[in-house]
Amino acid sequence: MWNQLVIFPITNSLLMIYKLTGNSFTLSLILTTIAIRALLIPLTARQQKSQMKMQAMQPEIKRIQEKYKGEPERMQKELQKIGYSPASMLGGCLPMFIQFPILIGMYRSILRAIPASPIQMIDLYQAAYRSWFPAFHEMIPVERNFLWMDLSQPDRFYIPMIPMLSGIGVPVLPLFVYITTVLQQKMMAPPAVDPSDQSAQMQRSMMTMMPLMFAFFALQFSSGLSIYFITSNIVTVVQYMLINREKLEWVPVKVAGVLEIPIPSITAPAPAPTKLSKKSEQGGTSANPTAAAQEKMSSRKAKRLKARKASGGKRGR
Amino acid sequence: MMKHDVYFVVVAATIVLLLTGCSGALPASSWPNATMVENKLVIANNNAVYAISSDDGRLIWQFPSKSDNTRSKLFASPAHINDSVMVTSDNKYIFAIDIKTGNEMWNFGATNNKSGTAPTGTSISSKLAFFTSGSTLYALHISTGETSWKFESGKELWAPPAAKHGHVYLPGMDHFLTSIEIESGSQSWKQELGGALADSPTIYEDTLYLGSLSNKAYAIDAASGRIKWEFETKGWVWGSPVVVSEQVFFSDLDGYVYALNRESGRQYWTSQQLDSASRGTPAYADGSIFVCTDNGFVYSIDANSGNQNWSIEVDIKNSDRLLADPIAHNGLVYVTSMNGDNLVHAIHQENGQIAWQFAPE
Repeated sequence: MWNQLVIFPITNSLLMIYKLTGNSFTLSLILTTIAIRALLIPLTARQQKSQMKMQAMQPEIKRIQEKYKGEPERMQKELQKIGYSPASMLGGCLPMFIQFPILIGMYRSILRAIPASPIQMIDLYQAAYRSWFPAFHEMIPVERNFLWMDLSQPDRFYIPMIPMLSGIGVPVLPLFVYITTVLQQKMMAPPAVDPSDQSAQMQRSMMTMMPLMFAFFALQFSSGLSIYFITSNIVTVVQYMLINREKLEWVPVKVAGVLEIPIPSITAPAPAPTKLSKKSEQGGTSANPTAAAQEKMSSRKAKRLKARKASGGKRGR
Repeated sequence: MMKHDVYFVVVAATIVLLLTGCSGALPASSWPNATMVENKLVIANNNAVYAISSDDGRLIWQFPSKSDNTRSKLFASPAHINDSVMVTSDNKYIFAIDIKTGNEMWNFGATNNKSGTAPTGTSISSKLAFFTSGSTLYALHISTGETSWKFESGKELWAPPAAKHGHVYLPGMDHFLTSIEIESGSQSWKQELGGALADSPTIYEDTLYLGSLSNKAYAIDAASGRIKWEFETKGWVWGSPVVVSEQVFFSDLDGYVYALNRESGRQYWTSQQLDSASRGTPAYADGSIFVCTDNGFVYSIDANSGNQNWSIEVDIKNSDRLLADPIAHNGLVYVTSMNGDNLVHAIHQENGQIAWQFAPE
C-alpha cells in the first residue's frame, strides 16, 4: 500500500522528469522537490500564518493566563475571545508531520530510481509504470553521477591535488544541508517574547538540534536526499519571503558561530490583534518586547519613508 | 542533556530506522550465490563463504572462520579453478580460498578504485582470473594474485565476464558487449545490444548467448561480435541462458520461461506466467528446467513441452526472495535464499520435496 501510494508515484515522477530533462537526475530531483513543495503550499502557508498569529498573541495570552490563574474556565473563555484555540494551533503543525512520510518516501524513491545494486534494479523494474516509458530500457542505467557525486551514495568529495588528503572525503552537501537549515530556521523563527519562557527554550533547542539532525541524515544517506533537503530549504525560504515580503528586514546572522550571513527576517511579529499591555496603555516604556519591537519597526519605517521623500521618492536599496 | 534534546534524539533515531526500512541496517545489495565444486556446494553470503556437503548439507568449512567485517559483503558467485575457489567482496577485494581447507591463499584489493559498484563475480582462464570492480576489468595471475593487465570500460560493470577461446567477453551496463584478448588485454570488438547487460554470456561452441535489460535475448558470433539472431521477450532477461544440445533456455523478469532453437532462435515454447519475476539462470537436468522466482517459489518445467512438473514455495513463513541461480546436481536442485530462515534448500528433482536445508549458525 505504502509502495503504491507514495514510493511508486514519486519514483515514476523522478524518472519522467529525468527523461524530460535530457537524463539529468539532479535536475529531476530539484524539480520533483519543488513540485512536492508546491503541492504542500496550502498547508505550509497555513503553518507559517498560524506561527505568526500565535506569536502575535503571545503577550495577550500571557496576560490572560496570569490574570485568571485560579479560574481556568474564565481563562478559556478569555482566550477564545482573542481567537486562541489549541486545536487550530495544532493544525498548524500538520505540515511538519506530513514532511516525515514524504522524507522517507523521497529517500526510498531516490534509491529505487537510481539503482546502485542488483536488488534495487529489480525493485525499479517492479516500480516503473511501463506505459509511461515505452523505451524504458534506453533509460537504464539511470545516470546517477553529478559532478563528483554518486547520488545513490553519501556525499564525500576527495581532494585529488593534495596526496596527504586524498583519502579524506569532505562532506560538501551535508555542510550545505546544515547551513541552509540554520538559515531557514533563523529566518523563520519568530522573536521570543520571553527568553526564559519554556516555548522559547524549546525553540532554541530545536534551532540547535534540527540542523544537526538533518546534517546527520545527509552524512549517512544518499546525496540525492541532501539535494532534496537543500532544495526544500531554499523553496521554504522563498515561499516565506513571498508571503511576508512587506515585513522583511535584512539582518546579519551567524552560522556555526563563524559565518555571518545577512538574511531576510521579520524583526518583529505582526501587530497583535488585541489590546496592548497595561504599561504601554499607560504610555510608559513598554515592558512588552513585542510592543517594543513594533514601536522600533514603526520608527524604522518612518525613517525610511522620510529618507525616500528626501531622495525624491527613489528607492533607497 | 536537556529534555527537548532527548526528544530530538528519539525522533532522529526513529527516522533513521524508517529510512533504512525499519531493519536498523542498510538493505543487502545482492543475493547469495553458489557454485558446485565436486560434491561441495560453495555459497557466498554476506560476511562469509560456506562450503557444505551437497549430500546432506553438513558444514565443511567457513571463510573466514570467525565473523570478520573487514571482508564486507561476499555475494558474487564463487569461481572454481584447480584447488581453489575465488570470491569477491563489496569492498572490492578478491580472495583465493583453498577448496579443501577453506584457508586464504591470497587476496587482491581494487581499493584505489573509489567509485563504482562492487564486483559481481569471477571467471577464469587457464592462467588468469578476471573480475570487475566499478568500470574496470582486472586480470590477475591465478597463482599469485598479481595484476597481469587492466581494462577500463568507462561505464559500470555488473556482470561477471566470461572467458574462452583466448578472449574474455565483458557485458556492460552501457549496453555494450566487449571482447578482449586474454594475452594482451586489448579490445577485439564491441557490440551495442540496446539494453544494459547484467549477467555474463553463456559460451557454447563459437556462439555467445545472453539476455539484456531490453526485453531481448541474443546469439552473438564470438569471433566477430555479429548478431546471429535476437528474440523479443515479455520482460527483461537478466540471467544467462542455458544451452542443452539444440535448445537454449532462459527466463525473464515478467515470470516467463522460453525455449528456443540454438541455431536459428526459433521459438519452441513459452511457459505459462510464473507467480513473479525469475531472475536467475535456469538449471537443467534429465529433461527438466528448474527456475526460482522473486516470491520464493521453485518450479520444475518439462524441457520439451514447457509444461509445469511441480512447484514448491520453500519458505512459507518468511517473504523469501529466490534471486540466485539454482543448481541441479545428483538428483537434487539447490536454491539459495535471501531472507529466509535457511540459506540453502535442497529439493528432490523428481517430486519437489525438500531433502534438507542449511542455516548458518
